[in-house]
Amino acid sequence: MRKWSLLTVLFFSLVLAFSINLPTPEYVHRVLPNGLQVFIFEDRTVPLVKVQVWYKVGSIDETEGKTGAAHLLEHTMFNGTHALEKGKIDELITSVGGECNAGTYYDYTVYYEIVPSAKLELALAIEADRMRNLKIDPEDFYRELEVVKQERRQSVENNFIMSGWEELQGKAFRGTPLGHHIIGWMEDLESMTHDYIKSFYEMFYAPNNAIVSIAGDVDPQEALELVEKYFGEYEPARIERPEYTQAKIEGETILRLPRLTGVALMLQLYQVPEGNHEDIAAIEALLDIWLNSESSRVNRELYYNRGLILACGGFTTTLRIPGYVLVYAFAYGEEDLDQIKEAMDEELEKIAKEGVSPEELEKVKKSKLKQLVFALKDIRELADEVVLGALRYGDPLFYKKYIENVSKLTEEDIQRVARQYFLTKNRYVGYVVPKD
Amino acid sequence: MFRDRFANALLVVLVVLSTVVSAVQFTPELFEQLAGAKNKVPNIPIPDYERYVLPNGMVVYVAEDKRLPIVEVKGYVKYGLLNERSEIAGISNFMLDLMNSATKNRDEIALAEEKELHGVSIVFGVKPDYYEISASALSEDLEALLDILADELRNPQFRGDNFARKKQEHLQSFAHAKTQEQNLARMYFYRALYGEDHPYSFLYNYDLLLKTVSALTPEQVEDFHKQTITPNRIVLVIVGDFERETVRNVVERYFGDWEPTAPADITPPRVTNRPPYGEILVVDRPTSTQAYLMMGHDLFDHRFEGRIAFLMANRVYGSGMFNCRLMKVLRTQKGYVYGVSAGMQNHEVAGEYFITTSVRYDAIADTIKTVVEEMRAIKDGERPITEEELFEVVNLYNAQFPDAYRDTISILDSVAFNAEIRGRNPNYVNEFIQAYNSLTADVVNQVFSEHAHPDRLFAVIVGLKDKIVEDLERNGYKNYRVVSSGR
Repeated sequence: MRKWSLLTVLFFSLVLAFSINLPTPEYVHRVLPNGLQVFIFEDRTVPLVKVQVWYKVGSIDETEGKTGAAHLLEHTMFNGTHALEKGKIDELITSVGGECNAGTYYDYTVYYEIVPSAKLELALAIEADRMRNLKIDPEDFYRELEVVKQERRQSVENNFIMSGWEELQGKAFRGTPLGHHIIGWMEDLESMTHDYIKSFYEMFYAPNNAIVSIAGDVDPQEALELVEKYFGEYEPARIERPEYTQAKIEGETILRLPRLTGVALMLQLYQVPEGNHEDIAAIEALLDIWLNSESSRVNRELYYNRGLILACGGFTTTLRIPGYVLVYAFAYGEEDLDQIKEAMDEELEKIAKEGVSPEELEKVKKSKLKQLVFALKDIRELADEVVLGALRYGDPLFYKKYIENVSKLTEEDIQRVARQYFLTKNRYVGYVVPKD
Repeated sequence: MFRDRFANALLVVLVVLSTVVSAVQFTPELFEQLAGAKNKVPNIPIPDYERYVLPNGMVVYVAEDKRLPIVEVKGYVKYGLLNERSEIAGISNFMLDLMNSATKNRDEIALAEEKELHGVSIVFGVKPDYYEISASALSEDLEALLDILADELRNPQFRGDNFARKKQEHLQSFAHAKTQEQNLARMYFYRALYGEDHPYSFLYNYDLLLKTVSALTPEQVEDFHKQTITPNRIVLVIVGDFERETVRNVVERYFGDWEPTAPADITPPRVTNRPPYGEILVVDRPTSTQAYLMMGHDLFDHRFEGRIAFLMANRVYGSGMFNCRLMKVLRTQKGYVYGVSAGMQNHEVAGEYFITTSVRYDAIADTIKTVVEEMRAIKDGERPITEEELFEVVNLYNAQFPDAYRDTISILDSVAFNAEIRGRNPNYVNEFIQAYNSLTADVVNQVFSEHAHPDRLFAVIVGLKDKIVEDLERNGYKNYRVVSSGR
């Protein structure tokens, strides 16, 4: 048996910032010589284990004309290896009472199995095999491509929100990694080849570009030995990423986006820094005060007082590269959108000039604390936060820093980010309106 | 120099060889050896809980769980949509929305602010046989949570300024729903299944809702509230980091003096409609780049003793997972669909069985044919469900069931729901586990054969009518009818 030392990390002194006593979850973190990172979260609540393999590759790593490659590869990963014929991965996992699936995002792709804890080795063996031994049979590949095209029709083209958002984002970030949605453009999917997907796989699917996360009813030492057994001999690969250019959005551009809908929708896209930037906590708090909370500034004025909107909100897309904020408001009709936009800007200006009340800030902190405490109900939710911090920023404790940033927020922070990122009005605005 | 180069080359070969020798060899045999497991039949541990009935008839379940400083509430108000009549269809959703917006003691903004300050969240929902309550807070805010929940249930404000605005919102959402493919499919499907007069069809009957909700008055909603939201129809489940006695005191303080305003029970209306078996309804939706398909027929209510066997059979037929028969054919073999699933709902007075998917236009007819053929193959015994297929489903349930009940609130919620809403044993969750574990393939096939009716399946297809009709015609389907989405 190889000798190794466990790095046991104590988690969650962060709640001290909110002066509330919580249990302290622990996890094990280790890096194999080939660069593969391993996180193990022991939780004996139920006799199951969740195995995840996270790859640091997503739609931002695609090149022009090849959009959708990361997601299409994710589908292809279920078509088998030289040892696992098509359909066998699902068959094996379901045969033990497990379930498996995968997901692709802008900056990562993740595969997972939830299996009885006695079957941890099966899940790890499957993931290890398809990390380096994927078989891409052309016939299976092009059939799966049809499935992905159907997924695009279903989830994007026939959804007025998603298709409006996609068009707006495509124009705002044209020529940059964020210039397309994760599923890719239909014309690029039409021309995708199995050879290209194979080269994409060979470039990015390597131990030094991946993290194995194991959460559940496991002995950490035994789990680590299994990871070493199945992944330890793989060689690291040289990962070449495309250059991440950044869009230069100056001034305001308004696009009219007719869709089949019975409501009007305004979307606004703003640029924000990388997800580990210290301003992100303040930006998210601003969004809550300005838009998201039931008693937000915009809700008070446009929903309760003037009855102009049906709903409003805003959220960050925080990534390992600079991301964006999407602000939205649902309205009764197109004719209201201009005045809604103007009124939302006015509310923002008031925040920037006059600041926010201590009570508004307190509500934000209360909401974040509640989210944090409820996340502790399932260790797998926390595990994702830890692993994403490691994958994106090389910092498993990033989540803790974020909470600390929230606890330290001041009214001045909110004013500052309002001025710096939003009041400049360097933005793309989309009016998704009912089609004639 | 040469020797050095030779030595280096030898070293490389040795390293490579050693890598090959020590690396795992991935073979089909290895995976077969690692797989294969029969999971233990789980037992869901029912927590130590207290059940009591307030003098006004309200039933309360309470359990302590001190692992985290939180409190969670689930609840039910009996009869749901069954309270409605066609003249006031949609009143349940409208009333609950108003209840969660303002009370006689707290206006809209005051209520919103108080919830945010205390981190209190409250959600109401409408189901065919009951209204649902879901609420949570940190345990330090237990009192605020129950205070606000009681105020919303007991003292809602229906005569406030927000009445007209909320009505406009609901009407707008119905008009919008008529532009969306899934909503359109549900509207025509449920109208055809239950008939326009039965409450089970109201939730998605946007044409009807546009008329009825626009006519609602504050007096009507107030009266409906008195008839439906009454303590003798309410069940509350409260779990969290507290002392039971504390909760009991708080519950009695906020709910104890609430007098019932209506009888505890009603006589639910029976379903008398006969669905249009075998018909296809094409709903024209311009701009759709695919067709949305919903097929189904009527099914038994929740009391039917073969329900669990049918459920297991349906998992094999169309669970939506990759190993179900519909996914294997329609996605894995033919590449037509991204997902397809068959589901069942068993209510108080009826039930429904349905299959849904999105599909490209040139594959609609073949998809319908496949749905019917795969059902018929089980029903007619041509390809019955095998013991292996049943084992796979049972094995999955045995493995995953504990995960669904990993927290105390989920278990106690199940206890209360089964005992108070469905009239079953409080330990029904474990009876259910024993029941599906005792099934055989013969029983499962027999029940599916008796109650799945491929010849009765009717379909609603939403999309571009010309493309849908073209594919139906090309494949010999003549029994269709085209309607406009009616925007």
